[in-house]
Amino acid sequence: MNTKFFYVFLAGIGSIGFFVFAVWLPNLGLVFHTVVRGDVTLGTKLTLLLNLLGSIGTNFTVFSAISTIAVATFFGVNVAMIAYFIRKKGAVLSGVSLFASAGGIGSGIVGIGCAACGSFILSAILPVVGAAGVIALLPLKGKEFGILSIGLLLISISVMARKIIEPVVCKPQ
Amino acid sequence: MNEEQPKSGGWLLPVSIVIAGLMIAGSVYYVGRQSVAQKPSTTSDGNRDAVLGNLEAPVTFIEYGDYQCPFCGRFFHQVEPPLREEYIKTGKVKMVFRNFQILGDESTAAGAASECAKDQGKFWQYHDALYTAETADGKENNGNLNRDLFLMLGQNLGLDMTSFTACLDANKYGDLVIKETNAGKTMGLDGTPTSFINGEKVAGSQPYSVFKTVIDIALQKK
Repeated sequence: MNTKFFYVFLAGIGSIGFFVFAVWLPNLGLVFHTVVRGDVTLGTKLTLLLNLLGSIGTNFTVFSAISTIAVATFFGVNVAMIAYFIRKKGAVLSGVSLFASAGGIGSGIVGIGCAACGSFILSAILPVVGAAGVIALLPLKGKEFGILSIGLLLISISVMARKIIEPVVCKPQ
Repeated sequence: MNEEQPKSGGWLLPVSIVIAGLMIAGSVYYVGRQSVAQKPSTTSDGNRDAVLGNLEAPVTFIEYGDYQCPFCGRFFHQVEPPLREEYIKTGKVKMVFRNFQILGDESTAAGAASECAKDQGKFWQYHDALYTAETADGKENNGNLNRDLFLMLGQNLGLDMTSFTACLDANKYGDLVIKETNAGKTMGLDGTPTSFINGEKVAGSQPYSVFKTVIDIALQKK
């Protein structure tokens, strides 16, 4: 595979993977039960999985749909840039780029929203501490996570882009 | 090139990936456990279910909804019409609506009013009228779901207004609505609309095609 195409492919896979996970998330139980069933045809399983993706238009607000698509896109681009950076420059991330990448991915995952119930992962993982109550206290009712994620991923992409084009030179200590 | 040296915090990325993975795994486990262990009762257990459709229908569709939830409104307008036409009128599916009034006092009051209409055998007509009125308004907790509206809807549906007004003013079903809502929370429900099709949980206002596929799978099992 051509190297350039490989990174485009990686970005696409990362974006699509994140998007599919985000949209299926409220119904992972349904996805799992249907996929493992032996008495349901492959065609029916695929139909259900594809139809669930349509909930981006019915179960998300305009804001949460745009935010999910943006985070998924930037997530894929970020993954491809990190892979390129590590492979070509032989270095690992640290400092701002590491914080922005990890923070962007983390807040994006936490902020994946079932529009009807706020931040789904947060409320799924932290029911005992009343995540729903915490979200209700936030001024934007959980949209903060999506905005934070987009911001951090953009910072990460920007920092990565600078690092990639930066010549490999020694800097004074 | 200090920032790119492998020794400088290089462990943070793998750790963050592991944490993200654990969060995803935790959510998958939680969702899976919830959908298996906490299915709603589909039998008469004193919860006053008003059934739409043939009582002998092989598939039971239970919706937990809130009268102010815009996604429930979307479900009402986009999913219920083809569902009623294709499956309920044909006797394949029976539908039950249960109160999960989580968006405030107006939701609870609307739920209680619909229970008063249930006493007169017109629950589903009242349910439809409430969603039609609320989605036309489109705003939550703005005061539109009030006594005047409840009475007007009852009048329009030809309810016995003496008993309906008495039921409303005595807040006869306020506690019942809160009890049903708390029961939903105990089941682990965290949003509306949440549907159960012969016990299979479908969260959110999904496209009609999703519900159709899940119903067809349930019918195939029968």
